Amino acid sequence: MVSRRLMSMMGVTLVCAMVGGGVGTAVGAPASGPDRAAAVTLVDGGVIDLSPRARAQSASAPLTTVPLNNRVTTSDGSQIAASDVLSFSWSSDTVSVLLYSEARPGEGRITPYFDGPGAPRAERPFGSGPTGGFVLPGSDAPVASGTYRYQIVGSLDTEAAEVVLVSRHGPQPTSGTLDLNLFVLDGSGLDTDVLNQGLNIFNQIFGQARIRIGNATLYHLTGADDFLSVPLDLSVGSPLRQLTANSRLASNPNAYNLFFVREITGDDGGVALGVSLGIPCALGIPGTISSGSVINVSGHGRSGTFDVADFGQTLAHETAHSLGLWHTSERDGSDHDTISDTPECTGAEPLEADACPDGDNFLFWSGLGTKLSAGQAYVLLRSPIVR
Amino acid sequence: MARKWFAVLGLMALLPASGVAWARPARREAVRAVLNARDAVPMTAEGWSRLGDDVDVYLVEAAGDATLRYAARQRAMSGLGSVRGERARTFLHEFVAGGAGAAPLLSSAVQAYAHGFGKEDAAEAQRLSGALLAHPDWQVRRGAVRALGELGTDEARAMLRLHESREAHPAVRIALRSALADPPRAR
Repeated sequence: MVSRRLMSMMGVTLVCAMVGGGVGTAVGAPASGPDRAAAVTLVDGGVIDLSPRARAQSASAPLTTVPLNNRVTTSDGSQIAASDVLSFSWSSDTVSVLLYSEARPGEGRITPYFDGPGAPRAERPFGSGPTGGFVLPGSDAPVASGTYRYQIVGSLDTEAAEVVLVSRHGPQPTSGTLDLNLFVLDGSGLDTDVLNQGLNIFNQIFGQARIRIGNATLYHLTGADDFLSVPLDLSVGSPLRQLTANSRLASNPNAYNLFFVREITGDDGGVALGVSLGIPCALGIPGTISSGSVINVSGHGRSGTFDVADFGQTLAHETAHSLGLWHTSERDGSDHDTISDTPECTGAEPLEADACPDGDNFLFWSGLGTKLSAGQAYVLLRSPIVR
Repeated sequence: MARKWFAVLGLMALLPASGVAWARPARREAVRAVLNARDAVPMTAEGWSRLGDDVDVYLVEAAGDATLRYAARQRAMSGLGSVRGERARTFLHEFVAGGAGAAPLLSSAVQAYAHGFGKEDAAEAQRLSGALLAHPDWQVRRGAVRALGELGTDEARAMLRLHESREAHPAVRIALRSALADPPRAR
């Protein structure tokens, strides 16, 4: 009831009609047939006191410290720090491997690189300052068995990286289930009915990859009013980072974590609808500063209503980033994803969806489409947290 | 007649060389693409201006478009505070002074006004921002606090200190601490 009252104060009234019934045609996802997604059922995970005195003091993930004690001179003459070359193996029953790393001290900047047997792969290492990672496969090319080497590279002030390797084994999947931990801050303005309907849209988009949302556990966070407005800041101590570290409070460590706040703000009044804390995030590693996405609730308002379909698309878009997918085409057309079957758009900045062959994809940079390609499905299905 | 056309063509050829720039009209679709993006889109005044000389026309249109989601309208208001100009000032001033918009929109509008026009008319920006410190929605009050922090004048800081004793919401109190931690700015 509290959130209903706040939504009213925001000038927002729920419009259920937008997603009533099967909802499939509302987002362009299949409305019938084997890919049709069933409705998501929310399980009440209870109330979590997130008042300052009850907050986590540190990450709970079991991280291994890797020193960056090598100094390397780059082609432009600058020096960087690097770890020794480390390795992991990929066997016939490996489905995926995720590497997640955090800089120590936390203000450092790191990026992990890898290579392995076979032809060079399309995956792109991710580094966002204090965290970095990669997921294999992060493209739709089958991964060759053998030994893969990796190295953590960082700024000279980075003494070490804390590293976790997560691997998934089993048969190559043709369908899967994604569990969710949904952390709704009291005062975010998000109503449970709206959340449920948004999840159904999300479920339909991911249904194109034959992934359904499984256990969706709803946690009500109280005492966290200071997290209701989070700035667009990905530095190590930022509220965005601190918030996702509270993912350790959920009972399912292998679920994907979504946090719902009232607003995510820029310096001069601009906003983002959602922020994924990594491409990929720390999947299956709760308690880190990159363990999920944060969603802006109020930005989905629309003239006194709440745009549930748009909200559901944001959930799918940010989750897909977290699972390792990039934008099919970036704003200026100079960068594209690592997937072979998503068209690449080039042209004048900013690329417009109507003028691009990938403009209807749910990961086009401006993110208004709902289509998900077979190549994107290949990566999502193999994610370490899809079961 | 033919001589007149040659003269016009000759003038057209000379204009670029003489440094006179042709107007580059903005495309409405391009502006909307930036406004509708789901992820953060860092935009400077130069970035907005690169979309066209009359980008402010489309930003004003979008900021007032009730069919757009709030996030897009908030981004449009932020853009107006960056590109500035009379059209932007008039829109933002009326929107903030009206005080009746939805909380996310008012919050963005007051910040954009302070950002764009606070230097040339700090008194009016202070008056508009200060009035919103009494708004019942904390999201608006947080926007007003950030606007006054951006102004940074002695008067604005005095308003913030006075409000500090009254404000109970933690999110606004964080904004207050941040605004008052910045050094005062000269008018």
